[in-house]
Amino acid sequence: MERRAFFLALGLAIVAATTACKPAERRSATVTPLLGTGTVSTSRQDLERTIASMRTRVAAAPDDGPAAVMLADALLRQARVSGNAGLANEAERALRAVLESDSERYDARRMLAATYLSQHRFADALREAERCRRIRTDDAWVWGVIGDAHVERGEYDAAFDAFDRMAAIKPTAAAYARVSYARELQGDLTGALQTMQMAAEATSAHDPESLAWHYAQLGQLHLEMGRLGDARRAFLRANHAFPRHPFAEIGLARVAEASGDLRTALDIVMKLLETAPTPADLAYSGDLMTKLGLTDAAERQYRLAEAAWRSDAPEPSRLSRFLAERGRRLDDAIAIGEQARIDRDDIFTADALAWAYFQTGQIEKARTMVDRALRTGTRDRVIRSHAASIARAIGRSVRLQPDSSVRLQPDQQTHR
Amino acid sequence: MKRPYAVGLLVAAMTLHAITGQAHSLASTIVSVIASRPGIATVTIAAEADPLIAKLETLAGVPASDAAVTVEERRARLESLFPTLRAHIDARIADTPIDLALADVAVDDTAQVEIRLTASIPERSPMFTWRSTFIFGAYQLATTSGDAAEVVQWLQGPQTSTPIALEPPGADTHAALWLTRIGHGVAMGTLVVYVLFRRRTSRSVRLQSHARSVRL
Repeated sequence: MERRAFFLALGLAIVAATTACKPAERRSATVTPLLGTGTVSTSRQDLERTIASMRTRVAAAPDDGPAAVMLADALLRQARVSGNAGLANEAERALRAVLESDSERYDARRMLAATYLSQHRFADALREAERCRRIRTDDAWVWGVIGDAHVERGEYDAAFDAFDRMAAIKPTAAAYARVSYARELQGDLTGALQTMQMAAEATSAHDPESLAWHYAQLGQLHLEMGRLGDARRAFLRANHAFPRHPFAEIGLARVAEASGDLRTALDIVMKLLETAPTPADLAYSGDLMTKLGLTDAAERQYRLAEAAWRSDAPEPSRLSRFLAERGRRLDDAIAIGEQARIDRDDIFTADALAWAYFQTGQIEKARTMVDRALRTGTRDRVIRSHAASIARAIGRSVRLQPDSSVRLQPDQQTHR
Repeated sequence: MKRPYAVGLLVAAMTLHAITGQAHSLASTIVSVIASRPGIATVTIAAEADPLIAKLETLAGVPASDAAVTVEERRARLESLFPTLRAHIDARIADTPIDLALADVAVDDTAQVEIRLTASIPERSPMFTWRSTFIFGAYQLATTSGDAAEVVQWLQGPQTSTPIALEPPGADTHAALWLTRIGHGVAMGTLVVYVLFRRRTSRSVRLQSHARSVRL
């Protein structure tokens, strides 16, 4: 009996010593493949399956890097299609646990940057992405995160430079989509449409979630250009790729509205509100009800939208725009917009402020702010309409060309 | 072994709360559920008072009131809006709705409110689910069962939570105590049987060897 115990202890000691002496695995260069690029699909069922299995793996071994990265990837996609922003917090927790045991694990760190974007923590996203860029300057994915963070902060020059770098390193679907958005922001809707089409065509059929997103963006661009039939086809295609994708559904509502079928549009939005309500959808349902003459019901939706933007999905910039566009609590719209502009000087926040200033008779401030809103050359209909009203009030025409400070020109990106 | 585990839980809980506080697009509402004692569940809803009042007034179909300015005004309004709040909560034990009663409304100087609700629940197999229709975004549902760590689920709007067993604190300890007692009993019984068997066997062996030696 004693001999057996001795040999057992000896064996354990050898195993422990071997483990301790094993050289640490170099993980910095390891990159877990993203969903949709390998064997795992991103259909609704596969996303749920991936989340369930990766949660089990992460629970058993919180330092399992590949599992945590795959879990975070799936959670961020699930957040996009379900509207459940809390899933990004779960993603962050899983990634942080991995980084605690291996702070230089590259794929976990770059996914953390994307997670911060999802949480609207743009400064944190930028910091993490820059840290990744210093490790690997040739990672197109990281340049995409850097560009996204700059766009959200209204730092368009830096954003467009990052998208240029991304597309130059690797012209993927993700790069095309960003170039498309850059063109849209600069008012080149035709170029944006062409590039978004390239993005959709470059997306793997194995990645239906991304495919649906790209087709929904295509639909949105067609809608902006007044091509209702093309828009409807694109949204239907998005819905076919990923059934009940919220961007596709809301797109179909917009097409119905633009076609004059307000009832169908309202039915679609009300259905969305039953499962995944957002302040934006509440506000949109209020707009449709207003057009249908249902003023009391519309007011109810507006009140809920405002309260929800204050507490349930706090987005000061969008709340400011909502209040300004509907002429509600304009002093609040200004206060909230001015506060939001400290963190993000984007064209939409500037437009919200311009419109709120204009409606409260602060014409000079409105003029300054609408110039900020037009600085990229955007063709956004709401911004253009506000700009036209302000221009009429001060007796000048709306400037149609972007500032020369925006370096990226549409044609330069076409040939990347 | 227990101490590091407890410290780990504390750190995890603190980290989680820090993360929650930093996120920008999440509801400020947090719902916590605990079986405070056998047969009683306590639900605490922590939220910003003024948007909650605005939502409940809208859902109740009453005109928006002027902004409340004092702690007392906010508390009074929330108490009067409790029937609407309750109508927008679907809390169930084993798929049967439970009857939530208002226990307390606490509002602080920063207009944060904690609404405490209680309900009677069965003491055995209380699988709990939560659903609410007064939050229009993603929010945190934190459930604490027995002596286990808090479990957090992120729910979007009217999404129903996954079922979770709701045991009062100490339930695990009691169960473990009973198991320990049963274990001791079984062990003692086995020992007695073993000793008796050994004594009988050794006596028979002694008798056999004695008989053998007598024969020799």
